[in-house]
Amino acid sequence: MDRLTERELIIDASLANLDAVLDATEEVASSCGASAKTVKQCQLAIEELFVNVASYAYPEGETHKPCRITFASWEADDAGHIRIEIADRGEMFDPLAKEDPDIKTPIKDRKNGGMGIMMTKKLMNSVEYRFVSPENIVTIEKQWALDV
Amino acid sequence: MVIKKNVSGDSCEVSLDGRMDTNAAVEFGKEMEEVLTPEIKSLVIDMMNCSYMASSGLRIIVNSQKTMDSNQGTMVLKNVNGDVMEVFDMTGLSDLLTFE
Repeated sequence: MDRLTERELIIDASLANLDAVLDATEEVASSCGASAKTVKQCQLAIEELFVNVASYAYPEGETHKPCRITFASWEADDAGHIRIEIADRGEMFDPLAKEDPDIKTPIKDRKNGGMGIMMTKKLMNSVEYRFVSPENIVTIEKQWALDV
Repeated sequence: MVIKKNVSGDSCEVSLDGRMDTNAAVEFGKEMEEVLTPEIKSLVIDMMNCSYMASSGLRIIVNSQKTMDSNQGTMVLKNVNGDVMEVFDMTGLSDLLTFE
């Protein structure tokens, strides 16, 4: 494992902090040779998870919304790897449990919700949920080929 | 994100410049709600300079299409770049919206 880069953000899950999350993602992914396209895919995936935490993990009106995000990128076997873990302290909730929306649903019947998690699953190589009291933890991972 | 609007008669052209993340989508939603009066029959959204599209931005685009449908008008997405098109593809919207 070479060129390990790690970051941790301990922040409130508020949209005011979205830029910080996206900036950290870019920094950590780029440090390991991710292309601009891969960086964007990682940013989209973590944005969808972070926005879900900001919107739903805590009761409405709650001002303290603890959120911990850890980032790691490294090189191994001629590939770049990134792992991002996002943890909240809301009630136990598995965001992956719900079935993905049907992508053939016509415009007039489209409802809000579900698209973001579906995008995260499609953009990443793996997305996993676990509950380790008191945290809901979602871990996303992506790999990319490096020009050697 | 810079959102520019140009209304002329019953036509409206909107251009998106920058990253359509969730914060930008909140602004985009407000702008579209304001500009899409029942009189608007033609909406063009120029996305040449938009290279990032979160699901919150897609929702505004879906809602704009719903509004144009109820106005009995049309909506066209123009100059969509490859990375953003992939987002339309993975959510099934590339088959349901009009691109040029």
